[in-house]
Amino acid sequence: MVNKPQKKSLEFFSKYILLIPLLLLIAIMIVYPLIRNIYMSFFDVKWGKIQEFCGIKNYLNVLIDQGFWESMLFSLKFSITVTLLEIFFGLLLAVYFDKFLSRNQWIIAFFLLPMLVPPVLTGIMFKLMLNSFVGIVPQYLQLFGVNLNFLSVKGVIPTLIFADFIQWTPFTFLIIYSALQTIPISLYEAAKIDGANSPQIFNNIVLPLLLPSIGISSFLRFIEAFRTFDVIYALTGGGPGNKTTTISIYIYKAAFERGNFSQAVVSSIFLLIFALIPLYISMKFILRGSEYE
Amino acid sequence: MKRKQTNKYFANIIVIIITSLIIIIFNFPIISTIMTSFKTNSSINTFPPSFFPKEPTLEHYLKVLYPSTSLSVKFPRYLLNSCLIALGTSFLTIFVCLPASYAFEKIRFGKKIIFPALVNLRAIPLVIFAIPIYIFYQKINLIDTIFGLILLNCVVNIPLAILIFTGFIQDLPEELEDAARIDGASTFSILRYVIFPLMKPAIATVGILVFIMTWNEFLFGMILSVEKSLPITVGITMFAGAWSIDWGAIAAAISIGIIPSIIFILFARKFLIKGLTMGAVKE
Repeated sequence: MVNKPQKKSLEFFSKYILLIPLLLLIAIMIVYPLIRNIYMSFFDVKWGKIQEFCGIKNYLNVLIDQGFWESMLFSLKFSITVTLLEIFFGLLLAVYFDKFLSRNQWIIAFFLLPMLVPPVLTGIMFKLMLNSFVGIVPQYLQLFGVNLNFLSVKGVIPTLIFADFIQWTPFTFLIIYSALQTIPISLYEAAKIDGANSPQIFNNIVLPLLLPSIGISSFLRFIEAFRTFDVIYALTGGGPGNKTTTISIYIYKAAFERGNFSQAVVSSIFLLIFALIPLYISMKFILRGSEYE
Repeated sequence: MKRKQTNKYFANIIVIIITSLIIIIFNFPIISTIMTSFKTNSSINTFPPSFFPKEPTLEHYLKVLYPSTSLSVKFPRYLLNSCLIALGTSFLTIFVCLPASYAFEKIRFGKKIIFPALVNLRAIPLVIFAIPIYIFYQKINLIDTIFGLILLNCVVNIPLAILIFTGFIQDLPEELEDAARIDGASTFSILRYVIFPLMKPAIATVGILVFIMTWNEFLFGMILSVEKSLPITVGITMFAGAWSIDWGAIAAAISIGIIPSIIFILFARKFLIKGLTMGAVKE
């Protein structure tokens, strides 16, 4: 009986203790770097060495830098294109293979493999497959008299879009396919009895029920594609010129190839500000269901 | 009646053909890389090309796995590094996130602010943290260490792990814990003896998913390592220079680098699908 209050206080602390490792990690690896980033943005930083205070000069430098805006625009265009393509084909595959795959579940493994492979290796695999010296695809095309350079100035963007498409359509497919499995068969049957045909069933029953998962997978694909680094870095290194430089590649190159940390830090703060929009959407819609009403 | 059956038979064959076609298209880079890795150098460079290796050889695998000491690219070391980093990250992420998820879900502590903030972290591009973490790691001597990369990858995977763990904990029956609590068990012993054994599928899901994510990680592997902690993803990109584009060796290295992905999707498909869909769809 005597040690009961003590035990209670132990209980009280235990819930904090459960969270301490996590909060500590977040504080050190997320919160501190963010604050540090903002602090550094007001200084002249070269190769990681803080030199002197320079006010908002860095911000102005980035705002007038053409490369920054070009890479933001490229990221935006790239992510919108691949998201639309991947959602469309993911939906198509999910609906087409719905019945076939639920009978042969193991086949899904081969549908999903591309998205589990390291993205940077996907980039190198495309290089191996498409380069004009030993690439198997251009060589076979050449046999048919077709000369295509997939990594030329003209061909490089479609190639990058295709690489992203190959890797991430399996993801949108998986999300939409899983949602499709949760639609009860009785709904289809009821609609059929009422005399609805297949397009009607799809438009009025299946599509509305799939909309939440289509929304979430487009959102996830968009934010992931916007920050793409690996595939494009491996395949083109951001070139030719700055043509395929995404914002992630821009920041990486500014810091670790040119040593211009100020530029990189300020660009990443601008990127953070832009990222607040999807963050807000994510907070508002994606987690809504899990909150306690 | 018979005609209907043959129609069905043909419809089935068409589905199988389309399925195989789609699988081949989507996996074509992987298939052609694996094919290349077994070709001799001369057959890689000849025209007209052949898709399948004519005289299969293991020379590229031997070259990659047993490099001569003079080479600067030490593939076996990268392989070991990646294994250690991925395993370490899986364990650390589970250790950090499982108790926290329990606190969020059952004690309802931090569920209102900390939990949503953490889960939505993945809407933020990681490159934002690259520079401050690089400078921070330099200061505390974590550059080029396996532990440094484990720590970083753990943070990267926290949102996913928490989402999956809390999803599983929500589905646990309340009665078990209530019974344990009435018997006077402390939070820790409930976690250890009641929750932990029931969470084995969740732990497997998170462990496998985090392993794959960490194995696939590239950006921070490149920024935060110089030589000793280079993961396989970064190591393979260095091949181009070291062997003046020896495509056979690169193909062999890639084929080794994707082995974990292939093993997990073949033998742990259910866990992966569960984890990936839970990570995306929060009902």
